[in-house]
Amino acid sequence: MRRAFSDTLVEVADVNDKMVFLTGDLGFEVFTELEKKHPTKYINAGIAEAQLAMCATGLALSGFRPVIYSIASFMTGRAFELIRTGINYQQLPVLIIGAGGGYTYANSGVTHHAAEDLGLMQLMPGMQIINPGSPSEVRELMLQFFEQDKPAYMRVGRFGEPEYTAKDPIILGKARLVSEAKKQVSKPSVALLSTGDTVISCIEANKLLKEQGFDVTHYQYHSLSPFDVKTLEQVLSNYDHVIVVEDHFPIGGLYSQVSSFHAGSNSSAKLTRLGPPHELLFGEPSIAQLREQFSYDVSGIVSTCMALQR
Amino acid sequence: MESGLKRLAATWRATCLKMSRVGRHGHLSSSLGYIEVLAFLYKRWLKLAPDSEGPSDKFILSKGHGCSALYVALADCGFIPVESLSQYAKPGAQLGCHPCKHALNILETSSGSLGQGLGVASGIALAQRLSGEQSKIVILLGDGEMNEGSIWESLTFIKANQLNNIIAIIDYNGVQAVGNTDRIVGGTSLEKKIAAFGWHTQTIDGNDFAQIEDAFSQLEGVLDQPKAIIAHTRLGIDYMNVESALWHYRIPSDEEYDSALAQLDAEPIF
Repeated sequence: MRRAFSDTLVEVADVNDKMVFLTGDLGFEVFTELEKKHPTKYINAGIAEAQLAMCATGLALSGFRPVIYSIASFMTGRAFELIRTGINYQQLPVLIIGAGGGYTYANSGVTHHAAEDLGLMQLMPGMQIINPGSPSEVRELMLQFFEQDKPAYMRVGRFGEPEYTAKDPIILGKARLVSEAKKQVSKPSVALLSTGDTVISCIEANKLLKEQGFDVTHYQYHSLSPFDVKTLEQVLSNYDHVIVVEDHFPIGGLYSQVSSFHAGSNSSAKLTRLGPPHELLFGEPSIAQLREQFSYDVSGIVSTCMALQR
Repeated sequence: MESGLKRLAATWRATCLKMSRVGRHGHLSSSLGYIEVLAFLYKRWLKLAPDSEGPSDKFILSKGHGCSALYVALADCGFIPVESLSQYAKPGAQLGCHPCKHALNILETSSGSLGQGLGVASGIALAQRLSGEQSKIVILLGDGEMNEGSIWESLTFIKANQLNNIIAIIDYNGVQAVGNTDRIVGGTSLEKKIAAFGWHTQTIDGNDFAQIEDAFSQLEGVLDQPKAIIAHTRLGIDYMNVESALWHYRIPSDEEYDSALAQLDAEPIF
């Protein structure tokens, strides 16, 4: 996704002379092409997340389309009030990028954990929240961001996440149907809701489940705000079980959105959440260990679904 | 020049006092101290409208709470109706107790949260450079506001990127909400600190028009540095002294208001 992000920046800069990219001293050799092709549009502001947000405010007030970039925990946490007051209060079309959201940097310790990034940004009314799960989603959603004029936060994962195919196209603010279970095949009926890179584990899990004769529907929520309530309403009324798989605290992410909507609906669907707990995670685990421990890896998703059949 | 501007400063002070009384809102000391600087900027120095040479100059009030003086300047220069001053700080007013661009679009930016005006100015300056245009960009900051860490990120960025059309004025009235500025920063010199960041610095009496004019005329020759003016200020009314934090919050009583107007020998503009 990082590569897709830097490639898309160049693609945007080629056609949109208002795009300016500011990094908080992050991205070794990632933005070389942008810097080479558009030297005035690449600025290393130093390790100064507050300054990134304030400078982006001034640029956007002057008609530019700034993109600011740092590690997710610092970009959202350190600069929160500057984003809130400068960018969001004035509804300026700034794209705020959190690199390595969730537990991408799990083994770098708590300083680098960003399991609250989506929640922090989502608390602000008017802020769009984008959590892509593949290089194509990064590209498409970025291009769509530049077609409108509201602020957005986008989490960008690591390098090398795979592409995947889905039934639905990628549309900002719309849930994306990845695969649909054949009706009446599996009882109980189950829908998986992924967000960000948990889409990949869900696809893998779905394959294994199919091999065992368990057909599961899967939607990817790459946008948490605007939130696709319409699709959620259908999911909650059509399925017995809805399983949210997220790399975020249970507060402020996809599960929060789903469960608060569910609470106010007449749905009898049972909600399950797979993801990290609302706890400080010491001990510098690997991301794979974490996902296994809290059952949001492939085998955790498979076993959770299988258990529903018993 | 001086006597005309002096009269104007007295009138603007009287107007701020009335706004505080009518709007039942404090923050008087935050507005009264920098009135001479503001009058010089709006009546003598800033280009207030774009022309064939380029865009208008920009003024950002970073210490947003001291906004009654800015509203007076905007009204006196014809940017907002004079009558709107009577609505200052009232519920639903366009002239809020912190400047809101959503309500008052002629502002360069909303302000009210300290330590942000300089950083916003850096973005405006960068946008001008990318657009091939340039204007003066003046930011008025409070001395207390200089406590904010974000200011020092901006000072560094502005110098590093040679955004030399930026001029920061620090309203050094010596007092913060509940303390003495010098004591809070351990007696460290603001001028030395800003100079150490590579900025051109001057320290002046911010209530003295001759010194203000001299400082701004010196800026014309400084092309290779961003610029800061540390303007030591007083509130300009004898019983309102800057030693007391009282006037950060207080609204003048009837007697205080009458005596201030008599001392200023001026009437509000609304």
